[in-house]
Amino acid sequence: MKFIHPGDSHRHSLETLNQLYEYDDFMASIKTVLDLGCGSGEDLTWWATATTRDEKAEPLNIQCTGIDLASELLLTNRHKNMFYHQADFDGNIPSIPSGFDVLWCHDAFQYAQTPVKTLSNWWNLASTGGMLYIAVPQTINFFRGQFDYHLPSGSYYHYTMVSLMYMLATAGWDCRSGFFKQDSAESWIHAMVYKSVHKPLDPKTATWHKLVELNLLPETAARSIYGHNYLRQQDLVVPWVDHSLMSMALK
Amino acid sequence: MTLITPDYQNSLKQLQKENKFKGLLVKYDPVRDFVKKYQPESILDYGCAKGRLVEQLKADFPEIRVIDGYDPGVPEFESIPLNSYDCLISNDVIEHFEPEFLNQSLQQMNALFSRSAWLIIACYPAKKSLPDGRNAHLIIESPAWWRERVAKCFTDCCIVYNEVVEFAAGKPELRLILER
Repeated sequence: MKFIHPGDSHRHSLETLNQLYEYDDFMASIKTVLDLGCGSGEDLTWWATATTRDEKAEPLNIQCTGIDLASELLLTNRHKNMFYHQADFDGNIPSIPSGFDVLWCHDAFQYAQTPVKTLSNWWNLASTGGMLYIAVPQTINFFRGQFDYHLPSGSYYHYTMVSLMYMLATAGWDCRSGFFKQDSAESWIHAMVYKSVHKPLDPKTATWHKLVELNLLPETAARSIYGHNYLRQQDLVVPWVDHSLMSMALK
Repeated sequence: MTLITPDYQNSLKQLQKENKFKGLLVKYDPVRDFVKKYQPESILDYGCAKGRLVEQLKADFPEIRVIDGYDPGVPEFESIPLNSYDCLISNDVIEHFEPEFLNQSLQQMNALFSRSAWLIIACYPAKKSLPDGRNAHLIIESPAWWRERVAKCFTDCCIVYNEVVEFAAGKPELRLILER
Protein backbone atom coordinates (compact mmCIF):
# COMPACT_ATOMS: atom_id res chain seq x y z
CA MET A 1 0.00 0.00 0.00
CA LYS A 2 1.36 3.40 -0.92
CA PHE A 3 -0.03 6.63 0.46
CA ILE A 4 -0.87 9.24 -2.15
CA HIS A 5 -0.60 12.30 0.10
CA PRO A 6 1.90 12.91 2.95
CA GLY A 7 -1.05 13.67 5.22
CA ASP A 8 -2.39 10.14 4.70
CA SER A 9 0.94 8.69 5.77
CA HIS A 10 0.97 10.89 8.87
CA ARG A 11 -2.59 9.88 9.74
CA HIS A 12 -1.39 6.29 9.60
CA SER A 13 1.53 7.16 11.91
CA LEU A 14 -0.76 8.89 14.33
CA GLU A 15 -2.32 5.65 15.44
CA THR A 16 1.02 4.48 16.82
CA LEU A 17 2.10 7.93 18.01
CA ASN A 18 -1.08 8.30 20.02
CA GLN A 19 -0.58 4.88 21.59
CA LEU A 20 2.93 5.85 22.69
CA TYR A 21 1.68 9.18 23.96
CA GLU A 22 -0.21 7.39 26.72
CA TYR A 23 3.06 6.27 28.30
CA ASP A 24 3.78 9.45 30.23
CA ASP A 25 7.06 8.37 31.80
CA PHE A 26 8.32 7.10 28.48
CA MET A 27 7.43 10.35 26.72
CA ALA A 28 9.05 12.39 29.47
CA SER A 29 12.23 10.34 29.21
CA ILE A 30 12.73 11.03 25.48
CA LYS A 31 15.28 13.75 24.85
CA THR A 32 16.06 13.16 21.16
CA VAL A 33 14.28 11.70 18.15
CA LEU A 34 15.68 10.93 14.71
CA ASP A 35 13.11 10.56 11.94
CA LEU A 36 14.67 8.45 9.20
CA GLY A 37 13.05 9.34 5.90
CA CYS A 38 11.00 12.13 7.41
CA GLY A 39 9.34 13.15 4.13
CA SER A 40 7.41 16.34 4.60
CA GLY A 41 8.12 16.31 8.34
CA GLU A 42 4.67 15.83 9.78
CA ASP A 43 5.71 13.08 12.16
CA LEU A 44 8.75 15.16 13.08
CA THR A 45 6.48 18.09 13.93
CA TRP A 46 4.37 15.83 16.15
CA TRP A 47 7.44 14.87 18.15
CA ALA A 48 8.73 18.45 18.26
CA THR A 49 5.45 19.82 19.60
CA ALA A 50 4.61 17.00 22.01
CA THR A 51 3.57 18.09 25.50
CA THR A 52 2.84 16.37 28.77
CA ARG A 53 -0.71 15.17 29.34
CA ASP A 54 -0.99 17.16 32.55
CA GLU A 55 -3.85 19.56 33.09
CA LYS A 56 -1.34 22.32 32.53
CA ALA A 57 0.45 20.79 29.57
CA GLU A 58 4.18 21.46 29.45
CA PRO A 59 6.22 21.10 26.26
CA LEU A 60 8.44 18.03 26.31
CA ASN A 61 10.94 19.94 24.18
CA ILE A 62 12.24 16.84 22.44
CA GLN A 63 15.14 17.66 20.12
CA CYS A 64 14.01 16.33 16.76
CA THR A 65 16.17 15.63 13.74
CA GLY A 66 14.85 14.55 10.38
CA ILE A 67 16.76 13.21 7.43
CA ASP A 68 15.65 12.63 3.89
CA LEU A 69 16.87 12.94 0.35
CA ALA A 70 15.25 16.32 -0.36
CA SER A 71 17.47 19.38 -0.12
CA GLU A 72 15.24 21.02 2.45
CA LEU A 73 12.31 20.26 4.68
CA LEU A 74 9.21 21.75 3.13
CA LEU A 75 7.21 22.85 6.13
CA THR A 76 5.52 26.12 6.78
CA ASN A 77 5.80 25.83 10.56
CA ARG A 78 9.32 25.09 11.72
CA HIS A 79 10.07 24.79 15.41
CA LYS A 80 13.25 25.69 17.26
CA ASN A 81 13.79 22.09 18.32
CA MET A 82 13.54 20.73 14.76
CA PHE A 83 16.59 20.08 12.63
CA TYR A 84 16.89 18.73 9.14
CA HIS A 85 19.74 17.07 7.26
CA GLN A 86 19.77 16.07 3.65
CA ALA A 87 21.09 12.52 3.76
CA ASP A 88 20.41 9.00 2.58
CA PHE A 89 19.36 6.86 5.54
CA ASP A 90 20.69 3.85 3.69
CA GLY A 91 24.24 5.14 4.08
CA ASN A 92 26.47 6.00 7.00
CA ILE A 93 24.83 9.40 7.65
CA PRO A 94 28.13 11.04 8.60
CA SER A 95 26.78 14.47 9.57
CA ILE A 96 24.50 13.17 12.36
CA PRO A 97 25.75 12.70 15.93
CA SER A 98 24.78 9.42 17.58
CA GLY A 99 22.80 8.80 20.77
CA PHE A 100 19.16 9.23 19.70
CA ASP A 101 16.58 7.94 22.18
CA VAL A 102 14.03 7.15 19.49
CA LEU A 103 14.67 6.28 15.86
CA TRP A 104 11.45 6.68 13.92
CA CYS A 105 10.99 5.24 10.46
CA HIS A 106 7.43 5.19 9.23
CA ASP A 107 6.67 4.40 5.60
CA ALA A 108 10.29 4.65 4.45
CA PHE A 109 12.26 1.51 5.26
CA GLN A 110 10.86 -0.25 2.18
CA TYR A 111 13.22 1.96 0.14
CA ALA A 112 16.36 0.71 1.89
CA GLN A 113 18.59 -0.98 -0.63
CA THR A 114 20.85 -2.65 1.94
CA PRO A 115 18.37 -3.26 4.76
CA VAL A 116 20.51 -5.32 7.17
CA LYS A 117 23.45 -2.95 6.82
CA THR A 118 21.11 0.00 7.27
CA LEU A 119 19.66 -1.46 10.48
CA SER A 120 23.20 -2.09 11.75
CA ASN A 121 24.14 1.53 11.04
CA TRP A 122 21.04 2.67 12.88
CA TRP A 123 22.08 0.57 15.91
CA ASN A 124 25.11 2.86 16.13
CA LEU A 125 22.90 5.95 16.01
CA ALA A 126 20.73 4.93 18.97
CA SER A 127 21.36 5.79 22.59
CA THR A 128 22.01 2.97 25.05
CA GLY A 129 18.73 1.04 25.22
CA GLY A 130 17.18 3.36 22.63
CA MET A 131 14.08 2.48 20.65
CA LEU A 132 13.55 1.91 16.94
CA TYR A 133 10.14 1.99 15.29
CA ILE A 134 9.64 0.75 11.76
CA ALA A 135 6.43 0.55 9.79
CA VAL A 136 6.81 -1.11 6.44
CA PRO A 137 4.15 -2.14 3.93
CA GLN A 138 3.75 -5.85 3.45
CA THR A 139 3.92 -6.55 -0.25
CA ILE A 140 2.98 -10.22 -0.16
CA ASN A 141 -0.70 -10.45 0.62
CA PHE A 142 -3.67 -12.72 0.27
CA PHE A 143 -6.42 -10.87 -1.49
CA ARG A 144 -9.81 -12.28 -2.50
CA GLY A 145 -8.58 -15.85 -2.18
CA GLN A 146 -5.36 -15.32 -4.13
CA PHE A 147 -1.80 -14.32 -3.33
CA ASP A 148 -1.07 -10.77 -4.33
CA TYR A 149 2.54 -9.66 -4.83
CA HIS A 150 3.38 -6.09 -5.68
CA LEU A 151 6.35 -3.77 -5.35
CA PRO A 152 6.14 0.00 -5.68
CA SER A 153 8.95 1.81 -7.50
CA GLY A 154 12.09 2.10 -5.41
CA SER A 155 11.29 -0.96 -3.28
CA TYR A 156 13.45 -3.99 -3.97
CA TYR A 157 12.51 -6.36 -1.15
CA HIS A 158 9.43 -8.08 0.15
CA TYR A 159 8.98 -7.96 3.92
CA THR A 160 7.21 -10.32 6.23
CA MET A 161 7.09 -10.22 10.00
CA VAL A 162 9.63 -13.05 10.05
CA SER A 163 12.08 -11.48 7.60
CA LEU A 164 11.93 -8.13 9.37
CA MET A 165 12.47 -9.80 12.75
CA TYR A 166 15.48 -11.69 11.38
CA MET A 167 17.03 -8.50 10.03
CA LEU A 168 16.38 -6.53 13.20
CA ALA A 169 17.82 -9.17 15.53
CA THR A 170 20.85 -9.70 13.29
CA ALA A 171 21.47 -5.97 13.42
CA GLY A 172 21.53 -6.06 17.24
CA TRP A 173 17.96 -4.97 17.95
CA ASP A 174 16.21 -6.65 20.88
CA CYS A 175 13.00 -8.16 19.50
CA ARG A 176 12.40 -10.16 22.69
CA SER A 177 11.35 -7.06 24.62
CA GLY A 178 9.91 -5.45 21.51
CA PHE A 179 6.44 -5.07 20.05
CA PHE A 180 5.08 -6.16 16.71
CA LYS A 181 1.85 -5.75 14.83
CA GLN A 182 0.63 -6.78 11.44
CA ASP A 183 -2.20 -4.66 10.27
CA SER A 184 -4.11 -7.04 8.03
CA ALA A 185 -6.62 -4.47 6.82
CA GLU A 186 -3.90 -2.19 5.48
CA SER A 187 -1.11 -4.74 5.04
CA TRP A 188 1.46 -2.99 7.22
CA ILE A 189 4.04 -4.52 9.51
CA HIS A 190 4.95 -2.53 12.60
CA ALA A 191 8.01 -3.23 14.75
CA MET A 192 9.09 -1.40 17.89
CA VAL A 193 12.37 -2.77 19.25
CA TYR A 194 15.22 -1.72 21.52
CA LYS A 195 18.95 -1.40 21.05
CA SER A 196 20.34 -4.52 22.67
CA VAL A 197 23.65 -4.94 24.43
CA HIS A 198 24.84 -7.01 21.46
CA LYS A 199 26.61 -5.35 18.55
CA PRO A 200 25.27 -6.10 15.07
CA LEU A 201 26.19 -9.60 13.94
CA ASP A 202 27.68 -10.67 10.64
CA PRO A 203 24.57 -11.46 8.56
CA LYS A 204 26.44 -14.21 6.73
CA THR A 205 26.84 -16.22 9.93
CA ALA A 206 23.91 -15.08 12.09
CA THR A 207 21.75 -18.17 12.49
CA TRP A 208 18.33 -18.32 14.10
CA HIS A 209 19.82 -20.39 16.90
CA LYS A 210 22.51 -17.79 17.54
CA LEU A 211 19.85 -15.08 17.81
CA VAL A 212 17.90 -17.21 20.31
CA GLU A 213 21.07 -17.79 22.31
CA LEU A 214 21.59 -14.02 22.52
CA ASN A 215 18.01 -13.50 23.73
CA LEU A 216 17.20 -11.31 20.77
CA LEU A 217 13.97 -13.02 19.71
CA PRO A 218 10.52 -13.32 21.31
CA GLU A 219 9.83 -16.43 23.37
CA THR A 220 7.38 -17.81 20.82
CA ALA A 221 10.02 -17.40 18.11
CA ALA A 222 12.53 -19.31 20.22
CA ARG A 223 10.08 -22.19 20.69
CA SER A 224 9.45 -22.33 16.94
CA ILE A 225 13.17 -22.37 16.19
CA TYR A 226 13.83 -25.12 18.75
CA GLY A 227 11.13 -27.20 17.08
CA HIS A 228 11.90 -26.57 13.42
CA ASN A 229 15.40 -25.06 13.20
CA TYR A 230 13.88 -21.99 11.58
CA LEU A 231 11.17 -19.49 12.46
CA ARG A 232 7.66 -20.17 11.24
CA GLN A 233 5.49 -17.08 11.15
CA GLN A 234 2.42 -19.04 12.23
CA ASP A 235 4.13 -19.90 15.53
CA LEU A 236 4.55 -16.27 16.54
CA VAL A 237 2.45 -14.65 19.23
CA VAL A 238 3.60 -11.06 19.61
CA PRO A 239 2.54 -8.15 21.82
CA TRP A 240 1.78 -4.62 20.70
CA VAL A 241 2.05 -1.43 22.72
CA ASP A 242 -1.70 -1.22 23.29
CA HIS A 243 -1.39 -4.37 25.48
CA SER A 244 -2.89 -6.60 22.77
CA LEU A 245 -1.40 -9.93 21.76
CA MET A 246 -1.49 -11.06 18.15
CA SER A 247 -1.24 -14.64 16.99
CA MET A 248 0.37 -14.75 13.57
CA ALA A 249 -1.30 -18.11 12.94
CA LEU A 250 -4.40 -16.13 12.05
CA LYS A 251 -2.67 -14.02 9.39
CA MET B 1 14.13 -6.82 60.07
CA THR B 2 10.93 -5.95 58.21
CA LEU B 3 11.49 -3.56 55.33
CA ILE B 4 8.31 -4.03 53.34
CA THR B 5 4.76 -5.18 54.12
CA PRO B 6 3.49 -8.25 52.24
CA ASP B 7 0.58 -6.25 50.80
CA TYR B 8 2.90 -3.64 49.36
CA GLN B 9 5.24 -6.26 47.95
CA ASN B 10 2.28 -7.88 46.18
CA SER B 11 1.22 -4.49 44.79
CA LEU B 12 4.73 -3.96 43.42
CA LYS B 13 4.68 -7.40 41.83
CA GLN B 14 1.34 -6.67 40.22
CA LEU B 15 2.60 -3.35 38.84
CA GLN B 16 5.69 -4.97 37.38
CA LYS B 17 3.64 -7.76 35.85
CA GLU B 18 1.24 -5.33 34.21
CA ASN B 19 4.02 -3.11 32.94
CA LYS B 20 4.94 -4.85 29.71
CA PHE B 21 6.10 -1.66 28.01
CA LYS B 22 9.82 -1.39 28.47
CA GLY B 23 10.43 2.27 27.68
CA LEU B 24 13.91 3.71 27.47
CA LEU B 25 16.88 2.91 29.65
CA VAL B 26 16.90 6.31 31.30
CA LYS B 27 19.67 7.93 33.31
CA TYR B 28 22.25 5.42 32.18
CA ASP B 29 25.02 7.87 31.23
CA PRO B 30 25.59 9.24 34.75
CA VAL B 31 25.58 5.69 36.16
CA ARG B 32 28.17 4.65 33.57
CA ASP B 33 30.31 7.67 34.54
CA PHE B 34 29.95 6.74 38.21
CA VAL B 35 31.09 3.17 37.55
CA LYS B 36 34.00 4.38 35.41
CA LYS B 37 35.10 6.71 38.18
CA TYR B 38 34.99 4.21 41.05
CA GLN B 39 36.01 1.06 39.11
CA PRO B 40 34.32 -1.33 41.54
CA GLU B 41 34.74 -5.08 41.55
CA SER B 42 31.14 -5.57 42.62
CA ILE B 43 27.92 -3.58 42.19
CA LEU B 44 24.39 -3.91 43.51
CA ASP B 45 21.50 -2.27 41.65
CA TYR B 46 19.02 -1.75 44.49
CA GLY B 47 15.50 -1.63 43.02
CA CYS B 48 16.57 -3.03 39.68
CA ALA B 49 13.05 -3.70 38.30
CA LYS B 50 13.46 -6.27 35.51
CA GLY B 51 17.25 -5.96 35.53
CA ARG B 52 17.79 -3.85 32.45
CA LEU B 53 20.50 -1.69 34.02
CA VAL B 54 22.20 -4.82 35.37
CA GLU B 55 22.23 -6.31 31.87
CA GLN B 56 23.63 -3.13 30.32
CA LEU B 57 26.33 -2.76 32.97
CA LYS B 58 27.37 -6.39 32.49
CA ALA B 59 27.73 -5.74 28.75
CA ASP B 60 29.66 -2.50 29.17
CA PHE B 61 31.85 -3.60 32.10
CA PRO B 62 32.67 -7.28 31.58
CA GLU B 63 35.67 -6.89 33.88
CA ILE B 64 33.45 -6.29 36.93
CA ARG B 65 33.26 -9.55 38.87
CA VAL B 66 29.76 -9.24 40.35
CA ILE B 67 26.80 -7.15 39.20
CA ASP B 68 23.64 -8.11 41.07
CA GLY B 69 20.15 -6.71 41.25
CA TYR B 70 17.58 -6.59 44.03
CA ASP B 71 13.90 -5.78 43.65
CA PRO B 72 11.14 -7.05 45.93
CA GLY B 73 8.61 -6.54 43.11
CA VAL B 74 10.31 -8.95 40.70
CA PRO B 75 10.46 -12.64 41.66
CA GLU B 76 13.78 -13.10 39.86
CA PHE B 77 15.42 -10.42 42.01
CA GLU B 78 13.48 -10.57 45.25
CA SER B 79 16.11 -12.31 47.40
CA ILE B 80 17.48 -9.82 49.90
CA PRO B 81 21.18 -9.42 49.24
CA LEU B 82 23.41 -10.65 52.01
CA ASN B 83 26.77 -9.66 50.56
CA SER B 84 28.46 -6.31 50.73
CA TYR B 85 29.31 -4.68 47.42
CA ASP B 86 31.91 -2.10 46.48
CA CYS B 87 29.24 0.15 44.97
CA LEU B 88 25.50 0.51 45.27
CA ILE B 89 23.28 2.08 42.60
CA SER B 90 19.69 3.09 43.16
CA ASN B 91 17.78 5.00 40.48
CA ASP B 92 14.27 6.22 41.34
CA VAL B 93 13.68 3.71 44.10
CA ILE B 94 13.84 5.32 47.53
CA GLU B 95 10.68 7.38 46.98
CA HIS B 96 8.82 4.06 46.67
CA PHE B 97 9.71 2.94 50.20
CA GLU B 98 6.88 2.68 52.69
CA PRO B 99 7.23 5.71 55.01
CA GLU B 100 7.18 3.60 58.17
CA PHE B 101 10.19 1.61 56.95
CA LEU B 102 12.16 4.45 55.41
CA ASN B 103 14.88 4.73 58.03
CA GLN B 104 15.42 0.97 58.29
CA SER B 105 15.52 0.64 54.50
CA LEU B 106 18.08 3.42 54.14
CA GLN B 107 20.16 1.86 56.92
CA GLN B 108 20.00 -1.48 55.14
CA MET B 109 21.20 0.14 51.92
CA ASN B 110 23.99 1.75 53.86
CA ALA B 111 25.15 -1.66 55.03
CA LEU B 112 25.29 -3.04 51.52
CA PHE B 113 28.26 -1.10 50.11
CA SER B 114 31.82 -0.51 51.22
CA ARG B 115 33.00 2.33 48.97
CA SER B 116 30.41 4.47 47.21
CA ALA B 117 26.75 4.78 46.30
CA TRP B 118 24.86 6.50 43.50
CA LEU B 119 21.30 7.59 44.33
CA ILE B 120 18.58 9.27 42.31
CA ILE B 121 15.48 10.22 44.27
CA ALA B 122 12.38 11.54 42.50
CA CYS B 123 10.83 14.49 44.32
CA TYR B 124 7.50 14.64 42.49
CA PRO B 125 4.32 12.52 42.28
CA ALA B 126 4.41 9.53 39.95
CA LYS B 127 1.98 9.14 37.08
CA LYS B 128 1.23 5.60 38.18
CA SER B 129 -0.93 4.58 41.10
CA LEU B 130 -0.87 1.45 43.19
CA PRO B 131 -3.85 -0.94 43.00
CA ASP B 132 -5.10 0.57 46.29
CA GLY B 133 -5.14 4.06 44.74
CA ARG B 134 -2.07 5.51 46.46
CA ASN B 135 0.44 7.38 44.33
CA ALA B 136 3.28 5.02 43.36
CA HIS B 137 5.75 7.47 44.92
CA LEU B 138 4.82 6.83 48.55
CA ILE B 139 7.09 9.61 49.80
CA ILE B 140 7.04 12.94 48.00
CA GLU B 141 9.43 15.36 49.65
CA SER B 142 11.75 18.16 48.64
CA PRO B 143 15.39 17.59 47.65
CA ALA B 144 16.50 19.32 50.86
CA TRP B 145 14.36 16.99 52.98
CA TRP B 146 15.81 13.93 51.24
CA ARG B 147 19.38 15.20 51.51
CA GLU B 148 19.00 15.57 55.25
CA ARG B 149 17.40 12.12 55.63
CA VAL B 150 20.09 10.42 53.58
CA ALA B 151 22.86 12.16 55.54
CA LYS B 152 21.27 10.95 58.77
CA CYS B 153 20.76 7.31 57.76
CA PHE B 154 23.90 6.70 55.71
CA THR B 155 26.28 6.87 58.62
CA ASP B 156 30.05 6.98 58.02
CA CYS B 157 29.46 8.46 54.55
CA CYS B 158 30.12 11.82 52.94
CA ILE B 159 27.92 13.30 50.26
CA VAL B 160 30.51 14.14 47.60
CA TYR B 161 28.09 15.04 44.80
CA ASN B 162 24.73 16.62 45.18
CA GLU B 163 22.63 18.03 42.35
CA VAL B 164 18.97 18.73 41.73
CA VAL B 165 18.05 17.97 38.12
CA GLU B 166 14.72 18.56 36.39
CA PHE B 167 13.78 15.19 34.93
CA ALA B 168 11.01 17.06 33.11
CA ALA B 169 9.34 20.43 33.61
CA GLY B 170 8.31 20.71 37.27
CA LYS B 171 9.74 17.28 38.14
CA PRO B 172 12.87 17.71 40.25
CA GLU B 173 15.04 14.78 41.22
CA LEU B 174 17.93 14.65 43.65
CA ARG B 175 21.17 13.00 42.53
CA LEU B 176 23.72 12.05 45.14
CA ILE B 177 27.04 10.28 45.35
CA LEU B 178 28.07 8.99 48.77
CA GLU B 179 31.54 7.87 49.72
CA ARG B 180 32.81 6.04 52.77
